[in-house]
Amino acid sequence: MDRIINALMVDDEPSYGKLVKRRLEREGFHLLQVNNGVEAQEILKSYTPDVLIVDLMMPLMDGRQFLKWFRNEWKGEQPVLLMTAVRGSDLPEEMKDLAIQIAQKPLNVTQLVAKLREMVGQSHD
Amino acid sequence: MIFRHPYYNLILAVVVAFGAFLLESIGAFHSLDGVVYDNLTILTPEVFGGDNFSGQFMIIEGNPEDFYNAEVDWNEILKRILGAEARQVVFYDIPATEVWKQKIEPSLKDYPNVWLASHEATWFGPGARKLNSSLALEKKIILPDLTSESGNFRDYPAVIEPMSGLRLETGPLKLARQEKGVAGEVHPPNHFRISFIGKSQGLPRTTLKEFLDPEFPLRLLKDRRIWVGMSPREGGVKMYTPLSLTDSHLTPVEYHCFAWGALLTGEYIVSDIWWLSIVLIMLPGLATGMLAPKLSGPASLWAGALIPVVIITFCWICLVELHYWPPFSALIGSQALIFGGVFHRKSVLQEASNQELLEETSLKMREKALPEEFLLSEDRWTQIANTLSQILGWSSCAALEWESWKDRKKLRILAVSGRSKSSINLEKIEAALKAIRSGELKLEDGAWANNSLVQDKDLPSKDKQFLTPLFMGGEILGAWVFTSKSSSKSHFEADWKAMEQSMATEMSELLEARYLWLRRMEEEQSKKRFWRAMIRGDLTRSNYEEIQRSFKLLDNRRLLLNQVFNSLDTAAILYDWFGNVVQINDAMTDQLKTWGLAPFQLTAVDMLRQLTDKTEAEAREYFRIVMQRKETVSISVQLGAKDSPLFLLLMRPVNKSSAEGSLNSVGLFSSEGLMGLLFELLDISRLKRLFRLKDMLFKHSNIRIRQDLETLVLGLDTLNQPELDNEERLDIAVILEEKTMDMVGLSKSIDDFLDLDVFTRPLIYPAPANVPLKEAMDQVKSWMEMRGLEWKLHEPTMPQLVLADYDELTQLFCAIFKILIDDATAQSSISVNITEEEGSSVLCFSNEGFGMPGAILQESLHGERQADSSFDGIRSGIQLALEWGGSLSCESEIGQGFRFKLKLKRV
Repeated sequence: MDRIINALMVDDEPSYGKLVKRRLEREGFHLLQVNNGVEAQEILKSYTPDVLIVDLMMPLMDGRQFLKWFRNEWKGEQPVLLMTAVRGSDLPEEMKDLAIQIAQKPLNVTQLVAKLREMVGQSHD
Repeated sequence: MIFRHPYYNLILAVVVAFGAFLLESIGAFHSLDGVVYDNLTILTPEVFGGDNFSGQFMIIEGNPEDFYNAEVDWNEILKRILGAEARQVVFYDIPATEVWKQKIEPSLKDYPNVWLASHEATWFGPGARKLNSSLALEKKIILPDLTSESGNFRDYPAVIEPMSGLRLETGPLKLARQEKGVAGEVHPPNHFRISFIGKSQGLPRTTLKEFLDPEFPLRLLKDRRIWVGMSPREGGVKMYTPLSLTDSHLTPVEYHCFAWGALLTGEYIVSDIWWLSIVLIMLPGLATGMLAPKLSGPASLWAGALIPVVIITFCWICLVELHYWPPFSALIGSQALIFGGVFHRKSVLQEASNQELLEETSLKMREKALPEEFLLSEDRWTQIANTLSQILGWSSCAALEWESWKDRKKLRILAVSGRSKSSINLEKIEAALKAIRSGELKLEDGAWANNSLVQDKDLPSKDKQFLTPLFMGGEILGAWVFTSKSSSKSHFEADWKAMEQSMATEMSELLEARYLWLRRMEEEQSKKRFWRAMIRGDLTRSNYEEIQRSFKLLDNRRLLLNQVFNSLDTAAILYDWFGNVVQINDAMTDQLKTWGLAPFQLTAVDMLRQLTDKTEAEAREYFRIVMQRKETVSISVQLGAKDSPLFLLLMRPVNKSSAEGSLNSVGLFSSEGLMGLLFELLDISRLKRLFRLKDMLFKHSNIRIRQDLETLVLGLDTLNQPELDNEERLDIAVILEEKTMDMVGLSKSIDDFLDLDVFTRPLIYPAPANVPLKEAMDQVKSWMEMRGLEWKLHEPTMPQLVLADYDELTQLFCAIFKILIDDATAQSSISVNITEEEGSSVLCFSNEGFGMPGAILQESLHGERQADSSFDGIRSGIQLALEWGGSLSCESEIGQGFRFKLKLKRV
């Protein structure tokens, strides 16, 4: 029996987050969703996720700024899946040094779940 | 027609030369010739003169009573003279006394060297007393009657004809011939001229009393020719010679002596050889007639100055060396006339050509703007009058022209608006124009205000009336009269005045065009050509005025064209085919100034090199293509920092076909076409920024669409979950509805943007494909070297200006190269081949590599399976190429490497 995977989703699209949360929880995930990097900084003080799902473009603090803070200042070592509709070639160069995986939107839930399990080492294969 | 006759110069030379000879023959140039002859004689140094024969003569003069006194023994005197070994003795004008007849004359025949001389009048005049018939005729000599003259040379008669059929040699010739002994040695013509060059005035003389003095030195008489006669009366005849200019006059006896001496020494001057005169006048005349038209302006001035010098020198040489005096005045006069006639003809023909050219040009220019019926129909002029009234707020307006273009005294109404024709006070206006022309009436701001120009009782008395003469080239072509409404704020405000003046100029041009057109019609009908007027003599004034008006017309047109050229927003500069600046507008001047470039110091090639980074060879190659292929070439121009304005330099040929097209539509060039190169600088910085914005909008909308699609897909997927309760399903349905509405709204925004894009697309992405290509090649250079690869580049000479975003195109090239380099086998090559298709540039990229199955490649690029991120750039490129109106395709097979084909629209 796989343990419950705690995930933190940082995405400013609440309806999308709501749907993902519903689906992931059926797959044995516990998902918390916040709207931007600032809220994520706050929640991390009381919640330790196994994996982070981060959107690139958000208000207040975008994915790039949050990830830089997360790796360099918070010293978070959990795997991070960066979900973005931006083409890979358009991503800033510095993102490549932040030990993240990138998922190009649109991404179906099955692929997402498989990716997350792989990242936390719970592959069903 | 005579000016255009091919043999005009020849005919002129012959006629003038013959005329000059006739005038010379009747002595018309006697006075002028004499002045020149005398002055040349005096100014000639003595060394050029012959013997001074004054030592060969002596004159013994007695008082009249000595000749009547019977105690004077003349025989003794004669013996004393002959005893002194005098060579010849001439008794002249001796009174015919009985003593003389009986005692002296009979003995004269015994002396062969003694002569009795009498004047012509004494011999043959009324009341002449015959000399003693006993004296043989051989012993008598006749002297021509010499009258006193105030100046100029005289010809000495060698022969006289006192009566018909009687020709007698005069004394000097008879004595000289007798003395020379051999007939034929002295051959003067009927008249000869005594050469006074190097001679001193006067001869030695003594009185009879002194001679009879026993102390008189008789040795002075030895070998001399002694003239014995009465001393001259006081106030008697005095002979003028060239020497008289500096010395005293000669007595007639002395003059006869000089003639005798001249014949003895051969220093007599011949002048009246008629055939030689004709030759001398005709030959230089013909030469001048033939050669003068070929001389340029400065050369003709030199020739005009040298001809008199040459003629004077020639005459002097003839006088001194050949003892011949040419027909100086006829020669120089005919030369001047022929020279002047030839150049007059030349100037008339040139003037005629200029006039024809200007007229033709003026008419052509005017005909382009005005159809023929416009010039003819008076309805059109009424339309003009109405338009002027409306624009300038006049209550009435009348356009007036001369009834006759020649005398320009009476006016006629060409068009009238707002009033009846009868209300126009033509007499008043005619008088006013006359006063304006003479300067008696001064205009204020080009107009004259007077309220009696229009006489209409319905006209409000407060309305002001104005008269504006219509000038062209200083000539009044017509006038217009208008009334300004009293309700106007000001009758003649500054801007209103400027507008009125401007329209007056336009109106003058219209009238001038009408005048030229009417005159041409008149000429064509009567077959009259303007040169006839020239021949009649009225060519200078009228022609000058017409040329002046034509120039004015051209000048107005040129100024207008300059204004049009300068008002263009596009910076433009026109070069001739040799690369020299023909015209430049203000926008280009200002732009080049900001870059520190002086257009007039740079040829077109230099300018291109300064604006771009092209070498001289490349720049010349561009010109070759523009000239030979008649194509427009576009090159991007960005001087200074990278964020400085970006320009597109368009180089296009201005040839006959294009001159008839867009450029000539503003009248920039004549119909003959001023061929050259036109450089235009288009500032595309703003356009580029606009399209960067558009690019950003596209990217953002893509992200939004992907995001929303993600939500929709997820929502639909969730709805399929069977365990959902109704509340959850409703919740998801709301989410789906919201997202759908969002997408509809986004779609509408994109539609709006695309509508805008329709207008701007053709100007948006002008990018020279070769530049981002080179930049991408530089970026992957290190990879190429690492793999030991080399380029095989085939590109056209001309840069391919394509519709694409510069930066994105660079990225696309990089993405393509990345795949080609990764796939290529070591030490192989990567080919880049750029070709042109109709309206498009095709860039083909290929390598010698491993390749991949085609189906997998297509799936990676277009299918749902897009896991391989190495093709991300190509996928984006396919999308971009579509957005740019082009296409990107990729092919590959195992063992065959990759082949990319990028097709982009050309600007």
